Amino acid sequence: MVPFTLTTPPDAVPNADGPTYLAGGTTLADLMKLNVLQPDRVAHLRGFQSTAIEEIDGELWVGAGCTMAALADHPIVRARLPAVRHALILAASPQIRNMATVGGNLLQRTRCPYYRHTEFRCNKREPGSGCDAQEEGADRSLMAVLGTSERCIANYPGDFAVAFAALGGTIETAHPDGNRSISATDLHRLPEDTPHIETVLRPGELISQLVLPLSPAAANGWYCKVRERSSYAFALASAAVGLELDGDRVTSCHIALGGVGTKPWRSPEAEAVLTGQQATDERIEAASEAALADANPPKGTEYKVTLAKRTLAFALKRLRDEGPPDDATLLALQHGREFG
Amino acid sequence: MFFDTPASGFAPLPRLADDAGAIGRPKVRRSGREKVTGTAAYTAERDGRHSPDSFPGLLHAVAVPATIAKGRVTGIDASAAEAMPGVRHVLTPANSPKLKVPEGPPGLGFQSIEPAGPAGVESQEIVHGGQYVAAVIADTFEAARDGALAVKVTYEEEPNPVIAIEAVNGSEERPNSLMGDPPVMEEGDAETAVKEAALSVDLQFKTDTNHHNPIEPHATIAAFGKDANGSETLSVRETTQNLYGTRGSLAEAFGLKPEQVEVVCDFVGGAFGSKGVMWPQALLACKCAKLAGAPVKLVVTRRQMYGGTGHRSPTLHRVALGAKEDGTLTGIVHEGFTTSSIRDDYTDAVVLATKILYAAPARRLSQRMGRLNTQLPTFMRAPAETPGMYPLECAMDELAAAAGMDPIELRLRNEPPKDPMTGKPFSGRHFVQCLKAGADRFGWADRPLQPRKRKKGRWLIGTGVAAATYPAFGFPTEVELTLRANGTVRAVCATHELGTGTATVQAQVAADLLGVSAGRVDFDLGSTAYPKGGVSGGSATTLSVGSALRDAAEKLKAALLKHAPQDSPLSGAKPGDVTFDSGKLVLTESGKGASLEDLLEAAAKAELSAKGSYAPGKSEFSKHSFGATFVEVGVDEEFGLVRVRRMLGCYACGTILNRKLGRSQFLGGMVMGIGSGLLEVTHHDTRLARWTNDNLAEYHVPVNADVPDLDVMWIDDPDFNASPIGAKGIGEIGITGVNAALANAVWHATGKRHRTIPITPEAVMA
Repeated sequence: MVPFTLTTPPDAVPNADGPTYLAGGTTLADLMKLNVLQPDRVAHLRGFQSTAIEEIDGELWVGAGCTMAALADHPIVRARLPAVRHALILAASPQIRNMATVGGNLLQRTRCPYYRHTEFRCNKREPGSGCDAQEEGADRSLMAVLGTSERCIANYPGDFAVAFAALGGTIETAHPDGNRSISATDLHRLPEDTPHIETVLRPGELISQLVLPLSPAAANGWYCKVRERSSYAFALASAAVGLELDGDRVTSCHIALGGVGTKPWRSPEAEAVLTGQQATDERIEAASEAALADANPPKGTEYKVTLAKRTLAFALKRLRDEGPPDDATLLALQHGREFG
Repeated sequence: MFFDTPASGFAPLPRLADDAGAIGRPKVRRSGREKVTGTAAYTAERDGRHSPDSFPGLLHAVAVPATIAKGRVTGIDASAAEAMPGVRHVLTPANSPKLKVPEGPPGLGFQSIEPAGPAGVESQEIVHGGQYVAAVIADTFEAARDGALAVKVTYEEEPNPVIAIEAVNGSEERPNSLMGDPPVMEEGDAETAVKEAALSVDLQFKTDTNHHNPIEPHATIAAFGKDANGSETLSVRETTQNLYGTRGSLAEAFGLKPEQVEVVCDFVGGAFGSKGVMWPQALLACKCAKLAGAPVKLVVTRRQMYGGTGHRSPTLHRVALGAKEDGTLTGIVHEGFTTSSIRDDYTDAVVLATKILYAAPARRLSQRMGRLNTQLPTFMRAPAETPGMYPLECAMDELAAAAGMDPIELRLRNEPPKDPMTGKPFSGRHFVQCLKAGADRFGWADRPLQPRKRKKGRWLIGTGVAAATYPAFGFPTEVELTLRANGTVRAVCATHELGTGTATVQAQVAADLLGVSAGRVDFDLGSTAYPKGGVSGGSATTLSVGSALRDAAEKLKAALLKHAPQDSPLSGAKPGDVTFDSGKLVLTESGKGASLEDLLEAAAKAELSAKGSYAPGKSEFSKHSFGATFVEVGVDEEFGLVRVRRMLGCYACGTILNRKLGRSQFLGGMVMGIGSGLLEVTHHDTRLARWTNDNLAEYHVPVNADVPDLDVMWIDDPDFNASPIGAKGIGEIGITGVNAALANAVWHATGKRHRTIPITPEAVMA
C-alpha cells in the first residue's frame, strides 16, 4: 500500500475535506494492499461510531459501527427481521462478520477482477481508462446482468445491503454541511458514465445510523442465497423478500435481488406485479420475469438471468407456503443434506 | 484375509502378525501440539523472533511480478521505490548477481527450473504473467511491499499470449516421456476393436486448471556466510518437499559445493505437490541476500502464487471403450492432451492409470501437449491419476449404462489377472475386494440402475462409484539409526513433515524394528544436515524412509554383534540369527541374548549408529495401490447446485502404519476431490493470458459445509512385494476416484452426463 496518514481516534469527523474512513477494514485494507485504493489520509472510526441497536417508534435504529455479527444476533433481528439475519449469517465468514461494520458493509466494493488488478483497465478504478471486463475473452463470472452500462458491468457483491434495500431501510448521515436521511435504494448509483462514483455520499459524509422499518412484511421475509460453495462465497444470485398477506392476497411486499446487479437491486417492477394481487404461482413467476425484464447479461452470464428468476420465484413461493425458514432450515437449503 | 501373495518378496515384519507392536497404532501426530498452539515455526517464521534461528540484520524482500504474459521489459524505473523510507536496494537486471541456471530433477521432464532460468530477473523476456522482473529489499516487510508497488516497469507487449488449452489443442507435440513411459503405448488395434465392438462409447472430457493453494505460502530465508576455512556458505530456510533437490539446485546456481549449502524446513504448511521443485522465489531471495550482503526473507504473496509457483495443467481427453454384449472389454483408447510452459517440459502423464486398471486385448494410450504463457505446471496431488481417471472412470460408467449393467459388475468383469501391459504380477491388488467391501458398507445393493429415480425435497439424489489407484513409488533414501546407552533411539533423515505425521509414523516403524516402544524413539527430519531423503511427493516418503530404516536396523544388528562380549550367547552369531525383541537382541531360535543397554555398556559406547538405505530398483512386480470411491450427491437442478451427501473410500495400500494418521490422509484426498470435482477452477482472461480469481475468496476450495461425514475403510494386508515394510503410499490415492464418482453420481441423480470438471451451476442448469 502507499504510505498514508492515519488518525485514530479520528479528529474532526465528519470532515468535508474527505479523509477515507476505516471502520472494520475488511474491504479498505484489502484494496489498499492491492494498491487499488491509495488514500493519503485514513480516519479510523473504531470506538467513535455508535454500535447501539434500539427500537424507536416501530423502527430499528442501528449504529453504523455495529458489526455484522452483532446485528445478526440481536433478538429483534432474529424475531422480526429474518431477511436481515439470513443475509448477514450467509455473508462472508465468521471472522469477517466479527470485524466488518454494517455501515461499512453497505459500501462494500465490487469483486470484479478487473477492478482489483491495477494492471487491467477499469473505468471504476481509473475513470476513462476503459473496461477490460467487456473485451473478448474476459472472465465475466462475477459480472452483473442488471444496471450495467457501456462503461461498467461490475457486480455489487454484498448480501446485507440487498435485504436492507428490500425492506426500505434508510441511512442517516453526518456532514459539516448538514445531516440527512438517504433511502437505501438511493444510496448506490448506477454506473452509467461515472462508475467510479458509487454512491450519493459527498466527500467526508459519514453514515451514522441505519434505520429499518419493523413492518409485518419485514417480519415475514427471508433471504435466499444461491452459491456454488456452501459457505464463504459470493451469491451467484440471491433474493431478499418480504410479504404481508391477507389470506392469499398480497397487501404489501418487498423484493430485492443480489448477485446480479451493479447495485443492491430493489425491484419495484416485481413488487407492483404482486401488490394487491393473489400470490399465485403464475403471479409470482410474472413478478420474477418483471424483475429481470431489463436484464442485459454480458456474454457468458446469460444463465444468471434464469438463475435470478428461479431464485426469486422460489423465495416467494416458499415464503407464501411455509413462512420464514429457521436457521437450521436455511442452512439445510444451502448444504443439501439434513443435520443431526 | 485376502492373500494372493506371489512367492517372492520381502520377509514380513514379525510384529505385524500379532498387532503387538507400535505399527498400526493410532498415535497422535507428534507436532500436533505445537501446531494447534501456534508454536510450530514454519519457514517464514524462522526469522529469529519465533524460532531458535538467528539471522542478525535480516532484511525483507518483495518480488515485482510481470503484469503482461508475453513480451519484453523495456525499462525499470526504481527511483521512486529507492527513495522510500526503509528501502535498501531494488534488484533489477542491471544489478542482479549472476548465477548458473540449475538443471531440474532428472527424469521428470524438466529441462531447467523455468523460473530460475532465462526468465529470472536477468532476462528482459516475459513468457508468463507473474514472472518476477525485480525485487525490493527493505528493512521491513511493509517497506518492501510498498516499495515493490512503486517500481515502474515498462513493457513491449507481444500479441496473442495463450492461456486457454483449447487454443493450443492442435499441437502435435508429444511429451518426451510419461514418467519414464513413451508418449504412445499400443497393444493390438484398439481403434478397430472399439469400432467393431458390440457396445462402445467414444467420449471427450475436460478438466480445468487448478492451483494448489496450500495455506502456507512459499517462502525463503537466505543467508550467505563463511565457514571456518573462509569458504562461502549458504544457509536457507525454505518451504520445500525436496531438501536435497533444493540444496543441489542452489549449489549449482551459486557455484558452491553441496556441503557449503544448508537447507532447513521443519514443517511444511501444506504443499500438495507445489513445493516439490524449487520455485523462483528461492533464487530471488538468495540473489537479494547476495546483493544486500545481509540475510533476506522473501515470502510469496497469495496473489503471486498464481504465476510465481506452479499449478495443475488443464487437460483434454478422448476415451473410447469397446466391449462385448456381456461387458467384457475388447479395446481401450485413451488420448490425453495436457499443457506445459513456453520454455520447460513438465506435463502430467494423464493416461498412466489406464495402463493397469482393466484387462483388454487391445489398448492405445497416447498424449500430446501444447505450450501456454503460464508458469510451469507441476505435480498436484495425484498428477497423473486425478485428471486421468476422471475420463476413464466416467467412460466405464457410461459403458455400464449402455450395457444395462451395474457399474461395479462391469469392473469385476474386466479385472486383469496381472498387469495388462507388462504381464508382471501385481504386488498386491485387492481392487475387487475394495469394490465389494465398499459396496457392502455404502449400501450399494439396492441402487436403481436407472437415473432420476430418487428425490428428497428439492434434491435429486444419486450415487456413483469409481476406482482409485496410485503407484507404489519409492525414492532413494538414506537414514541413520542410533541406539543410545540410555535405552532410547534416534533416527534421522532429510525427509519432510508435510503435516502427514512422518516423524510419528517412522518412530513407530523404528520402534518395531528394534523392539522398543515408540515413545523411546526420536525421529528428526527437515534438514540437509541429515542423510539424504527423496522428494516427499509421489506418496513415496513413508515407504522409502521406513524401508531404509529396516535396512539400518539390520546393519545395527551387525554392529552390535561385533561388540558382543565373548561370554555372551550372542558371541559369534550372524545378523541373520538374531532378532530385536523387547529391548533386547536375542538369538531367534533360543531367545537368549542381551539387552541393548548392556551391549552398549559392554562395548563402552555411549551410542552406536548404523546407516541404512533404500532404492526401489527394478521389481518383478507391478506395484500399485487400489481402492474404490463411493459418493452420494444431492442435485438441485433449478439452481444448478451439487452437494455431497456422503462419501466412502475403501483402499488397499499395504500396511497402514498408523490408523489415525492414515485415515486423515485418505480423508484429505477425498476432500480435495470434492474441490476439483465441483469447485476448483482458476479463471483466466483469454486475451490477456492472466489468471483472474487469484485469491481464496473466489478460488473455491471446499469449506467444512461442503464436506459431509466421510467414511474410510481399508483392506488390511501388508504388501511385502511392494516394499520391505509392507506399506504403499496413501497420500494421493484418496483423491483419485472422487471426480469420476461425483460425475457418475450427478448422472445417476439427474440423467445428465458431465464431461467437464468442475461441474458448475451453469453446467447443471444447462
